[in-house]
Amino acid sequence: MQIISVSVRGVRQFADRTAHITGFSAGLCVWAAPNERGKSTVVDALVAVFLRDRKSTAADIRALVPHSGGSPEITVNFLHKGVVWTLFKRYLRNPSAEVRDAAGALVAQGDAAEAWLSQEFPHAALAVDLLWARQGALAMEPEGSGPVEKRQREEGRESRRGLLSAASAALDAGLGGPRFDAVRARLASELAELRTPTGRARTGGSLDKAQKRFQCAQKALAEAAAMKDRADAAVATRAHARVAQAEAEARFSQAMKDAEVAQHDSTRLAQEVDAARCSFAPLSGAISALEDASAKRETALSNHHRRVQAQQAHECARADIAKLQREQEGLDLRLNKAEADLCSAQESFNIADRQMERAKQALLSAQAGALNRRIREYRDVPTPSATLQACAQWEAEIARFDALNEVHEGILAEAVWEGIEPPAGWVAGEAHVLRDGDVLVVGRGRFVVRSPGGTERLEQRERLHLRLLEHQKETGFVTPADLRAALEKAREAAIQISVLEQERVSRFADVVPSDVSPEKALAVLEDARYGADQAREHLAALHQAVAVIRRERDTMERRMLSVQGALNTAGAVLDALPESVGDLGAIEATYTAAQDKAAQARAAYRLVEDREAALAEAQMRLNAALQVVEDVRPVRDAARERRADADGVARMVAEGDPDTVFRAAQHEFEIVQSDLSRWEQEAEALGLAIQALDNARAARKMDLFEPARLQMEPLVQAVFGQATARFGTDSLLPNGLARGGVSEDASVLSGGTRDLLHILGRLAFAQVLKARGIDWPVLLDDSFAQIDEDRIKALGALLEGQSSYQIVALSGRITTLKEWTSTHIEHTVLV
Amino acid sequence: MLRFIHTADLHIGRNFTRFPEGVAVRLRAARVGAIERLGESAQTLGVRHVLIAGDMFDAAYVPAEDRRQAAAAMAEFPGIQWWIIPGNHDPAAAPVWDAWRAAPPPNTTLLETAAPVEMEPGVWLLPAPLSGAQQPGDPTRVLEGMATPEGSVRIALAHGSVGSFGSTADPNAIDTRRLARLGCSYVALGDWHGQKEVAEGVLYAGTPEPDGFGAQGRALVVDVDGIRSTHQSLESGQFSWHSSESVLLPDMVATDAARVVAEARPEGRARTALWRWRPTGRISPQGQAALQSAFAEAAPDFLHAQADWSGVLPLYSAADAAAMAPEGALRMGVEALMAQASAGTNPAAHRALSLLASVLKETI
Repeated sequence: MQIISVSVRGVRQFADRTAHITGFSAGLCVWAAPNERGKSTVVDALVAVFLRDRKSTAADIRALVPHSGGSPEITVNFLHKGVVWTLFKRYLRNPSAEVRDAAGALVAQGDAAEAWLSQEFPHAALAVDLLWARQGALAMEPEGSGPVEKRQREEGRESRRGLLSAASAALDAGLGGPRFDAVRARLASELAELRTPTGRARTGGSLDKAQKRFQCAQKALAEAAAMKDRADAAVATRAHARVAQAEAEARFSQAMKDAEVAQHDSTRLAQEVDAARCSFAPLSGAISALEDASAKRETALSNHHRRVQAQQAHECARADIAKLQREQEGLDLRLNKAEADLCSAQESFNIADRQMERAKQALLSAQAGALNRRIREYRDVPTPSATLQACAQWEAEIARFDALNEVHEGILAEAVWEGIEPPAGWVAGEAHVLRDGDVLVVGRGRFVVRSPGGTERLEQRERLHLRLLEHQKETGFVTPADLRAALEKAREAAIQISVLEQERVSRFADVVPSDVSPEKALAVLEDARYGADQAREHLAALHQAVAVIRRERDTMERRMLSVQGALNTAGAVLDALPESVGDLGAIEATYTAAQDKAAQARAAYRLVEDREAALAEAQMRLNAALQVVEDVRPVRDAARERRADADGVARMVAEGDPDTVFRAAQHEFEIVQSDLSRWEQEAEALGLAIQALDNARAARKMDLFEPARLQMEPLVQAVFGQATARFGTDSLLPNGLARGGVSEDASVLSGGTRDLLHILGRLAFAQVLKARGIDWPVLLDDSFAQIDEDRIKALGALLEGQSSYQIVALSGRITTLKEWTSTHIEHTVLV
Repeated sequence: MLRFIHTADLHIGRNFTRFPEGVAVRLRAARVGAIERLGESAQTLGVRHVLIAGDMFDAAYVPAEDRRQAAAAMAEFPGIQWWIIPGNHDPAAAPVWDAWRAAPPPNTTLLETAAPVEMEPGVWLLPAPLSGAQQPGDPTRVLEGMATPEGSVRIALAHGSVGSFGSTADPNAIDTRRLARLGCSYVALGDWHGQKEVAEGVLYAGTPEPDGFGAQGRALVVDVDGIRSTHQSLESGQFSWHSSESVLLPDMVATDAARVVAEARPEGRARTALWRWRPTGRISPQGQAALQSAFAEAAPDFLHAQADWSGVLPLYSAADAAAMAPEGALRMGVEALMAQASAGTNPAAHRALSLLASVLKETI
């Protein structure tokens, strides 16, 4: 639809005048006029004529009435589907509506005209809401957090939902329409009956009641379970008490039995002890009788035995004495002989010893003689007259001579050449390098080239040679080594002579030397020593033999004394013993009889002891058994009491029929739980259904939003550069701007930026609606108040470029808008 | 030769609270009715002894009417001696036995002491009663010291579970090796509700009246000849419990529902049967509705029939979505819920879809 012209009369300031607004065109057309010219009045009139029935008395219709009253009349010429139409409406008094074609023919009037409008423009409300920015309604969302603003926003959203729903036919029937809202509302209503918006059960609703019943049943079940647990515990306690009592009774019975047995044993054993004592009493004297008989027997036997022993000892002693006497005589003979041998051996030893002494003396003499001979030999060693010093000198001269002799040996001729170069034709032979750099060249022939020092050396050599010969002559030695050796030998001989002289003085001062060799003298001495040793050993052996014999003799004497003592003792015993020991046979018989009797007495006594011990043990057992009885009795009594208590508790608990109560509570709980679950599932299902519808509508809405967003992107970038508008889910207009990586909510943007976004949003929706066959102009009433000049210009360029749909811009910014386009709306007021 | 009936785990007094009241009452009465049926069987078979190996009562505290009815039922068979040992549910210390002891039926013997008792000349019963619900150790250890005259027939009566080999750490756990050393001709056990032969001559009789889906009501008729024994099963249950499952195919249509239910239902007398059915699979909502309807049609034939539909997942088609909502956001919402319900990822999706469908119907 494209507006061509608008006429109003009886509308606000045009009470009795007609205002004609012409100059509308396709694309951008601008009505730049000062304030109070009626721009907004015309816009309100357009809204009314397209959206309000002629009979409407709504507030916005009444707002068109001038102060002086009247009936607003509005006429719009517009292009629709290629045809120019004229729409006329009068409101309030004599309301009417007419639609005429381009020729002015009446097409429809009254209700038919209204129907024609609804049919041709079923989406008018949506289009007006989306595309017409009316003055004071730049932001479709009322701002502010107060209840009024909130209600206005909610009403705006509801209105748009309704508008969107109403446009379902045009918007591909995607949003559900009134039926959608009705279905959703019905589901929401049923859900609201169950749950509050926060998800809690609504008080008094079915879910709430089910929850309360569940809590009651849960509590009842817990109580019944507790009661059943107590009952089960009582049964278990009773079972334990029964078992414990049975055990205690069994223990007590056993203890009583044991005590009875012990008592019986004690009684029996006491009787046995008495019987044993009675048996023993008559035999009690047998032991003492046996002791008497035994003593007598012992005495008789002892005396008899002693007499026999004494007699034997006496005879043995006498025999021993005789024997000992014989042995003693033998020893005496041996001793005499041994002593004689000893004397003889002593004599032999003395002789050998003297011989050895003589041999020692002879050895000393021989050694002294040998010593003297050695001294003489040392003295015969010649002593050279020369000294070591002379010898050393001689050796040095020999060394010099040898050094020079090396040269001398090389000399073959005596020719002396001056200089050091051999003459021509001479071949150098040996060249001897003397010390100190002298060179002596020996060539063929007999010429010798000597260095200036060579001759001197020869002379030195000669002198030395002579000197050496003198040394030989003076010393009598051929070489100094010989001299040195002789000197050494003489020195050594002198030393030895000194040593030997000292030894002669110390060892052989009083010894007459002999010519016998020491070896021979030593040999003689060895023989003498050997002889002496032999004599000594023999002598020692004989001494020992004599000592042995003497010890034997002493032993013999002691034995003699001992045996003599034994003889005397035996004699004394015999003298002391009685002549007769009595009748041993009778004594023995008496003793045997006493033994038998005593054995009987002992057996009887052992029996008494045995029975007494058994009785003592039995009494101990009896005491222990009685103690056990006393210990177990209270345990048994306590077990009986506990059993009685447990029985009482179990019976008392049984009266409450806990199992039945529990099962009933359980059953009730299950029923209530099932009911609650059912209501919860119902609420969940309702929520799920609503969510599914909302998701579907949101998807469909995005289906609309997305094209709008896509349409808006280039518009935003054209005005803001690299920026992107942000859309919310419950508003059809952008609620923010993202630029430079920063996303800003619309609430923090400047007023001019917000206005720009909303303008661009309307342009985007205009394109979307157009693409869906809804051709409606964009109308911007005084939307640029807060936009700066630069943006105004950019916007103008942008609007100029939107040529596919009509854009009507109304503003008091005359200068600015006049630069936008050349298409300007004219405003004529006729009376 | 001696013949007797071996039973256990009657659980008289059990409440079947998960069932409708009328069904629960009949199930509870059937526990006492088991005594009557056993008594009648014993008379028919000429049996003079019935051994109850524990858990005759369901709990330590049982309403007086259950106890008195049980006693009265036993007393109706004066020619039969009922030998009873306490089990873990009704141990010797349980108050339920107090009144029993005060006035026991004359043809019953409550064996609450671990001591041999002569059933008949030369036949000795070795009881191992439980004094408490959780008695530590092997309850049959008391049998080891029980001496009986030489040459006598020994029959053990015990209650507990057969533990793992050598393990007696759990309360009331029976060591089978000990049972083998007892020299018994037969060992009558209780605790497991199914018949089971643990070893030669060592058996669980099971419960005479079933109490769970899949269980059977049976007892054992035992013949003892010297050291050897033979046994045969005796049907004794009043009601039968059945459990069945069905796998549903995606192509199942509504007309198949009756056939599917007919194939799943148990055979036999339905009015004394309890039936639990677990269908699984993915089918269309129409198919599920038809199935539920068919099941509801068949259910009244049974004493009790219940179906667990948690394994049935809906399989929606595009036509289903179109039928609910034409297009647009509503259609999208419906399709989203159908996808969740079909995937089975959110149990609430199916219900949400149902709610949405009903509201959509109302807003047409």
